Amino acid sequence: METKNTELASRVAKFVNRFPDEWQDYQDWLRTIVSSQSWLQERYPAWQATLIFRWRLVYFVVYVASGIFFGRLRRKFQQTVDSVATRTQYRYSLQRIATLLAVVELTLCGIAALTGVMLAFYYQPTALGAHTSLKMIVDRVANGALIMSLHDVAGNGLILFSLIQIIVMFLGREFLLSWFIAWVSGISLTLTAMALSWTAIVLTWEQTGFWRFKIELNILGSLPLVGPILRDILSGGSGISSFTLQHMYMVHSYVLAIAAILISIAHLTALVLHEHHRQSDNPLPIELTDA
Amino acid sequence: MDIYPFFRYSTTLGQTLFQQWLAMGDRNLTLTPNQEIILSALRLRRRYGLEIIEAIENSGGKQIGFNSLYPNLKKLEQKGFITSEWGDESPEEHTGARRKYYRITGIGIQALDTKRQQLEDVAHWNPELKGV
Repeated sequence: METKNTELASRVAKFVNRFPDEWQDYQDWLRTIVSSQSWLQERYPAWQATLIFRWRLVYFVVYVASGIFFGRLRRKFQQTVDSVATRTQYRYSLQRIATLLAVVELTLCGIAALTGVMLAFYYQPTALGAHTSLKMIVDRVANGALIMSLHDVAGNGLILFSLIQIIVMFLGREFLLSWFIAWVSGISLTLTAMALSWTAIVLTWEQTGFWRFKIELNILGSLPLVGPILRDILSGGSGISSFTLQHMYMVHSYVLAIAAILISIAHLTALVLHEHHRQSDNPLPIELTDA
Repeated sequence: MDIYPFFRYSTTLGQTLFQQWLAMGDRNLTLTPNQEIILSALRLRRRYGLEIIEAIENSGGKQIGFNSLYPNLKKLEQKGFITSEWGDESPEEHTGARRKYYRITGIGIQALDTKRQQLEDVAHWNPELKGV
């Protein structure tokens, strides 16, 4: 029985020997198992000693084999991730997506601006006229409902796409000035789109918008030092009135809308310049340039 | 314009500061019961696998399973609590396997001391008297 056990152990040794790294790590474990054989025979009956010895060998083989399997799997994964070609393609794809998203953002800005101008033809930024004028636009102006919906969808879409753009740009990051400008302008555009949405809350002069604005204005007013001043400037006095509407309308239409268009142009320009710089400075793999 | 050097400098500086901050804090010196008994067996001298098991068995205290010895030794080595070196003995005749000796490091001794200090602190702890 002892000879059979030793043969089994030498077969295991031959198997593990095929993997030099694992053999270096675990050969002393196998030696201890073999050395423990005589020690087991002194203590236990022959059948029990054999059983324990073989169980130890099986455990050893399973442990080392799983180490080999998962180690190779990890190395393979690492190689794939680290592969320069893969990384270049991955970055390149993300940068192309970022440029496309910038085009989408600029288009949305354009749609929002165009429909905004159309709405401004009839909109009256006063407490008495705001809701009535919007209702009139929907009911009487040709394609009024469509223009309102487009303005709404474009504004919300701008927020959505600029948030997606931040994620895409983070994943495809590059240490170049053009990319840095695109990154900063992308974040600025997201903030501007959110500010546009916020200033539009009260413009419809409806119950939900009115009370939401009131609450958020009070939150703003509770900011230390600048809070009360900021609240008074935005609301144009102590309460929400026609002045508030005019202030919000002015900020929404003249300041933020123009800022959003300029930022989205700067954003797209920076990304296009970045692509140009990258293609001239760092040629892409053959399969990509061919494509 | 390549801004990578500036970025690299700032991140390297950040990493260095973070590592220093980590080094100032407690190093992870936690030990499982098995790891503690293995480290104790190595405290005074270097030993090989079977010798560790015999030392533990003959101490009459907590026993550890044969199969859990080497996985624990690997973990201790990865944590830097022990180091290993090949023995001078010739390879085993049937398998060709060599013997490895394990030796405790300074951090390993520190980990053991921390564990013992913790047990001492538990023993000496007294509840604060409230409302008496």
